Amino acid sequence: MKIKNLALATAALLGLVGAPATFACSIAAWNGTPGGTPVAGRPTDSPSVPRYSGQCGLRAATSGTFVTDNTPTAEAAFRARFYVYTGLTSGQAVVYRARNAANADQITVTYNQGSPGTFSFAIPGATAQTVPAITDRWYAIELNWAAAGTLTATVRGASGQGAAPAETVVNVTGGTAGGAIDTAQLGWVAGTGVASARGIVADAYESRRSTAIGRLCRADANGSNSVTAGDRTAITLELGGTLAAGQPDCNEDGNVSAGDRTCVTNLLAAGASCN
Amino acid sequence: MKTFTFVSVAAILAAFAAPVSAGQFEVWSDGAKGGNRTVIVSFAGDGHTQDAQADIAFDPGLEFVAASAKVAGSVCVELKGKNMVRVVPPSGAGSALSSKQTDYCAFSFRSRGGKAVAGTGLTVSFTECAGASGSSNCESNAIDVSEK
Repeated sequence: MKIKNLALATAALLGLVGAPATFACSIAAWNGTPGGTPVAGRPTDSPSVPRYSGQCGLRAATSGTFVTDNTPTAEAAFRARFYVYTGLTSGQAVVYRARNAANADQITVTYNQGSPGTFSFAIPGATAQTVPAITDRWYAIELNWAAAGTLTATVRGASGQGAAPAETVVNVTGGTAGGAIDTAQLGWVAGTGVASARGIVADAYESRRSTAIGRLCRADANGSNSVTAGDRTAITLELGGTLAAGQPDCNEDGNVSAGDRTCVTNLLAAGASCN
Repeated sequence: MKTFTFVSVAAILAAFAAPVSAGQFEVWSDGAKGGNRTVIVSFAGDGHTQDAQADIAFDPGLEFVAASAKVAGSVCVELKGKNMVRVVPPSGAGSALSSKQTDYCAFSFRSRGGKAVAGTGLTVSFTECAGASGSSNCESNAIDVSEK
């Protein structure tokens, strides 16, 4: 099993996860050559970098800006999960790409801005499948790829003020068999588009061979792995400048605001736990 | 059904008042002898708690009937299928919740099949008092008013 946890490498190594915001956000956990100059930062930085979880996110304001993970080695089965903020006003962004040792694409995830936009999931030799997605929102993307030429993609995001919408699952089948994954890239990997105020932002990346990864607990602002009244306090504290340790952006709009506190209240009233 | 006048809760509390070292939920029930009952849940802050929550399990011999908020913005709901109700006072949103014992929610229950339920039939199963320094359990009591 492999786990790659974006942008908190320094903190994790020093055991500072959840500590006051004194450590630097970092892409040190990514062992491949980055594209462009990806910015690992916090919402309190200038310019602000939204994050979905913890303190740090990865911002890509232009195409060709991404991080690279060379940890995979000729993988015949591959799972990945990441969160991506769809910060485009036009055009498209390849937000994730997995390749083999010869740099041939094995998985391509593209956000196509539009009304509504879509995520497109592609593998070699198969017809790409799409899922609706809107601009300037967080989405959780879960991928389950096999060398036999299949990809299952699960998408959920842009939840709004209440219970999360149902996840959308698409299956890409009939692809070219015999592939392998040796590298993964995340950010604004390729594609021509115009960034919104924030651009493409990615967070909370994990990859494994076979074990399902799952989503983080939405609205769990204080990182307790549940949704309770205390998450409202964590959001209140973030409004005062102390970043929450968990996932405070309950409505997944890229801003942590009083509206997220209301969103937590709505979830409590609905009897939701992790959602 | 016994009439239960909750205007008197504050007076009852005054009689039993004790220094509060953490936020404290009080669950007042009028049904110790079984049958239908009305329940009031109140909370007193500790000068630090900004957000508080109590999940209260009710005996399977009780059937949830209704919930109402006694302070606007409170969450007072049944957690369907769990034999549980939830109480969440409005967020202090940066300020401590009032340290004055305040009634936030009223619930009514009836007995299933007319069978008596021992005691209050209520158990506070989860509490959280959250403030700037973190979260901890609140204090809580389930009280059978009919025995006072």
